[in-house]
Amino acid sequence: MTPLTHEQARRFIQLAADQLLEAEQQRDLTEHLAHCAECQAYATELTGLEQNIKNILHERWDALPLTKDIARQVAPRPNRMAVGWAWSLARAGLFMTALLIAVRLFLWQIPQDTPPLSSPAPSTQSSPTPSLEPTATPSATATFTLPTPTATMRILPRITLIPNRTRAPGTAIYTPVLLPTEVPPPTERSTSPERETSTVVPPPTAVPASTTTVMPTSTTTVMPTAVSATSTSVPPTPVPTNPPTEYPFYPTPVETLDLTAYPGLPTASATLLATETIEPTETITPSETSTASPLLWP
Amino acid sequence: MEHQNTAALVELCRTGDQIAIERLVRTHQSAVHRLALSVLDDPSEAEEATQDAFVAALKALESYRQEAAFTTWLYAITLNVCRGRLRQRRMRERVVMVQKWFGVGSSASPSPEGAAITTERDSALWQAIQNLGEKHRLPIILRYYHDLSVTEIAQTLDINEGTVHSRLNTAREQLRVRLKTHDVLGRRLI
Repeated sequence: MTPLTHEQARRFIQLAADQLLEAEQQRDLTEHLAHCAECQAYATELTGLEQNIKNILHERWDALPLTKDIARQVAPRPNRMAVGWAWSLARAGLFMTALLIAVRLFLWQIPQDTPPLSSPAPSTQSSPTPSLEPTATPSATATFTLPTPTATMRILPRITLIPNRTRAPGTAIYTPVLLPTEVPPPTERSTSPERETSTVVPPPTAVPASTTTVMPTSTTTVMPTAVSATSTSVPPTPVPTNPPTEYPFYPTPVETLDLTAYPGLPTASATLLATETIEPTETITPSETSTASPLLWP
Repeated sequence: MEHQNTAALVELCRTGDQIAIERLVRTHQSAVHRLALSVLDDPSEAEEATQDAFVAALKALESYRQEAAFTTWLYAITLNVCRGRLRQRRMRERVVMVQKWFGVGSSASPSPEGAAITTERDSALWQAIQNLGEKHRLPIILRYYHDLSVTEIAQTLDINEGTVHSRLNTAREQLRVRLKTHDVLGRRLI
């Protein structure tokens, strides 16, 4: 064991402050401090300094606690986001439901006597064969009384234009010809006078085109849209005409004229009654499916 | 036991377990805040630095290899955050200094924490610690406020233990001399 110098003793004191002194060095230092008052004062001073540093630092910073909840701010919150989205969706759904209910209530408060929306009238240009079709899908059996089986039907005749080959200058190119059609004979069922009530089961399928549908019984089964149709087409009937080869400059020999384009032309109307005969010549009697003919052309 | 718990908690955090992350942060947020506070000496800035430190730590959690204690690894991240803030503060102080040269701006008022230091000797010691350079002040704070060993300080500051001891020795000597001078001056004034 060698005696320490003051320099070595101070170095050992510093190492002891950092707890880096080995056992043998600790023994040498203790031996030196036992005989050296100067180094002992240095060790005491350093120990006091360390304690003062600890005290002052703790005194300064221990009284300042953390005020933020760092854990809540730092930790990711995917579930919260999902819950937030779920709440947003739920609120949107509730709002939409309330909106739909409000719209339905508003629609129910509209007066029921307003005229029903009719199906758009068939255009003779786009659809040359308008038909009288039921506006609603029959789904139930209806029973009603016969005494008021009236319906007004406005029938526009079908006119075929025949080229006027012998025309003089200034005369018409076409000659209008009223096409004859056949009216089916009245059925026994529809003319039964003692039938007070009838059960109507309208056919679910669409009525073939170019026919006027008078629904199965004698009551008001002539559909409103059919009545309000502006024209009724009949299948083209063969009309004897000259072949176009002789007059290649003429258009097609048989043309269909849309009378709705000429509001000044006279129109025909008929009142369909269950057992009445429509004047002047023909009788229209309700049947399962009857063909309304444009025979009312004056 | 505690190290094992922390390791298990870290593993759970790596899987994205929200509860584990929250628990880990709650376990260490006080120590991290104290470290940030001791380095920055500004309560509000320390709280921001604490939050930044945890965000950075959670991002870098995959890179933690458990070679050092989790606390040491977390302290290192916190110190890096605090150093960045100290750099920004120094920049601001330079700007303020330039403003003072040109007669713009106001003089800085003493911080309210200064009132906590009552005695004149404590005030002198605090001023002496503040006047230490960052290189010497950080080991002093880590050693005497956070009670870290030289080995832990070396890991936290990413320097070797000899350097830590050398810096601590130098810092203690500087503080001792300054306090001695203050005591001598105080006696003379009395």
